[in-house]
Amino acid sequence: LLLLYRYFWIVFLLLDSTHERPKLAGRFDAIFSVISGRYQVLYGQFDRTGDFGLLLSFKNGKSIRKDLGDSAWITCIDFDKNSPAGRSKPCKLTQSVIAALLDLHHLQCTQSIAGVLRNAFAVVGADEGTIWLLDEKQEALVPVWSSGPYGERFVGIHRQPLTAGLMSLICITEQALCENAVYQNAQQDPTLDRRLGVLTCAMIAVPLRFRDAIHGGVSCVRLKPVDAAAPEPPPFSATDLAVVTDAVREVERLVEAA
Amino acid sequence: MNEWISPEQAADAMERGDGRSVRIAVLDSGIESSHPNFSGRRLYDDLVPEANGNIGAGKGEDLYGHGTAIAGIIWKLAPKAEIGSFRVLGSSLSARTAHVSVAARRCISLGYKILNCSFGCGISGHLPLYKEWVDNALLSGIHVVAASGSPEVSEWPAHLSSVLGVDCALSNEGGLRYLPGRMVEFAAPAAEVRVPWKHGGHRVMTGSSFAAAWLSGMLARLLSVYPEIDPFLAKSLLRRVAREGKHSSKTV
Repeated sequence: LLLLYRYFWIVFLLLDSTHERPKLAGRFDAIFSVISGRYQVLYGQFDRTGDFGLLLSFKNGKSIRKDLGDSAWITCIDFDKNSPAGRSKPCKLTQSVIAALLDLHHLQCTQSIAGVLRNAFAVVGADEGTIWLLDEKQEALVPVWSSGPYGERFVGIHRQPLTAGLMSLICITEQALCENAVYQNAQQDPTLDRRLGVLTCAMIAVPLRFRDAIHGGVSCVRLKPVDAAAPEPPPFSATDLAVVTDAVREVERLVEAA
Repeated sequence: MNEWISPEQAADAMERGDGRSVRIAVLDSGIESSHPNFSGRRLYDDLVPEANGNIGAGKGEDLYGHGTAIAGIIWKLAPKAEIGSFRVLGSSLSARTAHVSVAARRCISLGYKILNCSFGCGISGHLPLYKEWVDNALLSGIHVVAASGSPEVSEWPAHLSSVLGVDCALSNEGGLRYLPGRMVEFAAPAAEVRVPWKHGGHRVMTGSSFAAAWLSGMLARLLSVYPEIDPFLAKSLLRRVAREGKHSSKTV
């Protein structure tokens, strides 16, 4: 399927005469989306900090551009994972997720959302943090950005049904939560931990609200290796929860102001 | 009714009250009635309101575990309280406000004394829908306790003036806090609370949801001693009790 995507993409590039030549100033990433049974290709550019700067979408052969900052336009994608400039990360996203992404990425020219969140994650000593967005039908959460090394292995790939899990719960209640001793909980869904080869010890989850709607949430975690001998990281405190909540509120303000 | 209950008397009631005869509606994800923590207990009601106004049976189920946690905290603080489950939180985000409205109206008609809402809604257009039943609750002398983890961001029902809005305190020490100048005037101890969860499990949680449950439990204690306290008097007393540090710093 990925090969089909790639061919489809190449054909698109060849047919679309509006493309400019690529400016390979930053890292590149790609998001593939299947919307309403039609292939849609979205692709964007990471800026130097690894955040999105720009997204372009092409649908039905028509180019739709959305300039999300002062970054250079991107007109091609580097699919070669071995290329120093390129890194592909195919994933499925729905239209509402993309719309929310566009809102988020629009901040690029003012202040980096990721910068605000990374600071908060550092303050609370989180190993990694993730932005999750609700899909179009509001039936699932899709991780769309992660601050840490494990993100590449689940961003855009994992899909969390809204019927289960802490992230879903904070979307339903719109209340931030913190859970400690997570992996000791027999009911914890180990799917993601197994995929990443880690144990989630503590987790903070904060709902993300902007434009008068809940759009998903932000999580951050303290992890330990699967190795049982590894020391247990300390639990998150109520102060840690407040720090991350404040950062997410700041992100919401930035989105509203963009 | 004693109109002049002093903060000392209120604090004493919150210390020795057990929630007897106080009926609390937990508007949440359902309550797992078979949870081992609830052995020997029964739910006063277990209902699933629908947007069309119909009410179905809850069958002792909790979709997430959240409502079970809330009931666990309340019962720990107010063991004689009568709890009813109204499952308004499910996977359907779009229908949530409608479900809450149906449930709240039913709770009011059934004579519940406290409505625990460990959730918030930040959609501005939904404000009138929340205000309608919150006002009805006020006129019926029913107390609404609601969580709010974002005092600076409006959310319903916590930001309505007759509601006891409550956030999570940064520390469990010191019990109830008064936060003057905010719509959400209280912060309650809800850090690293071991709560019952669905499938008979337990979790260690922190958050405003559990602070609301704490306040509902303490309010049930107060109302079990002084049953005729109305919502505004309760709010006024809780302000003074919290401000003057007269209450116990009971945690769960």
